[in-house]
Amino acid sequence: MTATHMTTDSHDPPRAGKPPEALSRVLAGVRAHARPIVLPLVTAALVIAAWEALVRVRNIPDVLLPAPSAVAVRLWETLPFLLQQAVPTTLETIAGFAISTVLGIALAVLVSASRLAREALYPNIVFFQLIPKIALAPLFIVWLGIGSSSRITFSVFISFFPVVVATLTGLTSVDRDLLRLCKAVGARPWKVYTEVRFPAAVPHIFSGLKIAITFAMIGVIVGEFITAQAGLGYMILFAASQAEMALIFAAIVLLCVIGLALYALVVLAEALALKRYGD
Amino acid sequence: MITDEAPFQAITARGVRKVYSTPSGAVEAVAEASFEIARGDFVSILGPSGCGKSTLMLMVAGLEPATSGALTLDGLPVAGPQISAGMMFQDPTLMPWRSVLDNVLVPVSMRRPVEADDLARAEHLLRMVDLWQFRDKRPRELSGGMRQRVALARALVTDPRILLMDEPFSALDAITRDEMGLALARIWDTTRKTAIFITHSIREAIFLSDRILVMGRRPSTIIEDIRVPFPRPRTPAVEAEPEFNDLYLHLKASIHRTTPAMH
Repeated sequence: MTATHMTTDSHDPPRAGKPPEALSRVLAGVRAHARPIVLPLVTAALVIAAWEALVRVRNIPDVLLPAPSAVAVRLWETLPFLLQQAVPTTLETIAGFAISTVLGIALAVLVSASRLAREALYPNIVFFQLIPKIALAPLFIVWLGIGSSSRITFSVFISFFPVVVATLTGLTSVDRDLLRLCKAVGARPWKVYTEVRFPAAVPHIFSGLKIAITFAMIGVIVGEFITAQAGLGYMILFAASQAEMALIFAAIVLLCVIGLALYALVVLAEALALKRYGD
Repeated sequence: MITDEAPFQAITARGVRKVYSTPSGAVEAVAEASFEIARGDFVSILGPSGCGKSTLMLMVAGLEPATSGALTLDGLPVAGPQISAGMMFQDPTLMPWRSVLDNVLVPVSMRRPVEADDLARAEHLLRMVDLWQFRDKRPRELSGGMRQRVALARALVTDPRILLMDEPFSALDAITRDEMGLALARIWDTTRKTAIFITHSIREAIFLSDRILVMGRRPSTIIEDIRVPFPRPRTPAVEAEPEFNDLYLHLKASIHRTTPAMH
């Protein structure tokens, strides 16, 4: 009886006239919005499936390349332990990123505000970027020991430069006529900074911060490789020494999740800032 | 037109010259400019692109020093930025993070705290440009013409003695441009501020001005100084007058004479 009822209902002309159209529009909307999410997920799923198939078909041993399913099992088994290791890694990444943000913005303001600073400092900052910083990592241990301060410092060294460059671009990209107007009305230079240059730089600063957050994490992981005390980077190294390939991948998966979450937070902050400062 | 004991001439320029030194050598932006602008006159400077009109305006505003020659505002030599000048540029140059009202108040708030009088004046100006109901909107929510009207209100918020406008309507479409010309003429009639209006539109210059200075290129000097005879307030009907057309053709010929390379 219910079935008959449903059939008559769906064939009811006065109602069926509109809802299907509205429904198809909603579906089209969902499709348009889902596309940028679904498409990369499908691609990733295909790659993972191919990996799984390859390992099973070719019978590749776990010590060489564990199947994604084996990684998932290992991740599930060791999750409490891995999460515990993830705490220092995450906190140090956030600390490195925060310091980079403050230092990068301060340096950019200094370099853009003072000609002396620009001429004396900026070429050196750029030159410093050309040094392969990984090669400097052991020095940080000599100078700062094997504690978190040496990992955070290294993370800052790796991640502050994009913030400097992006902020500098923002501070100097202000419309020339707007600056003229400010000058003409007798605005103090610091007022021009706080009221015009800095707000205009906000969208640029966030493009630097998005790069900095990923670099900050790389810095901490490299630091953990070298200081070898705790953290997911250390876990990866330890697992490698034990030929625990599945555990390495499990740690990497967790790193990706944390990295993505931190990046998403920066993107969220950016969206909020652009609402206020965007064009 | 002489309203008080202050000098009759609001702006004087004598032998003003501007040379920029660039890595590829000296560039002469303005070869020689001498003129006097009477208090309350609306003067257009008309000329081809690259004739140094904008540089001349920046020198009057005190934002670029003249290489040689003398400039005075109200009898005082121009040395450094002139707070008594309101300015408009080709782009509205509004701050996207400020509301319409706060953008109008920028010339005040950049210098000192905003007071009740400033707010009253900003309201008056925004009503005059028909944007009071948009006072809380952001610039991105406005059309190009509306933004430029915000810029006009901003230029007038400090009640400046002179108004300097550098091709303020040239980025607008033709219809909006005509509307802006009418709005500016109407507002100018109520304030009668000494104004320099830089443009390369001959019709706009005739419609708005009491006087038109034509600037040539290479050398960039003032090659013509014409008084516009039409009474005020003006309506679009002046464009139908035979004199308007005569003046238009005359100015067109004189501009073309200065740019032989363009033929």
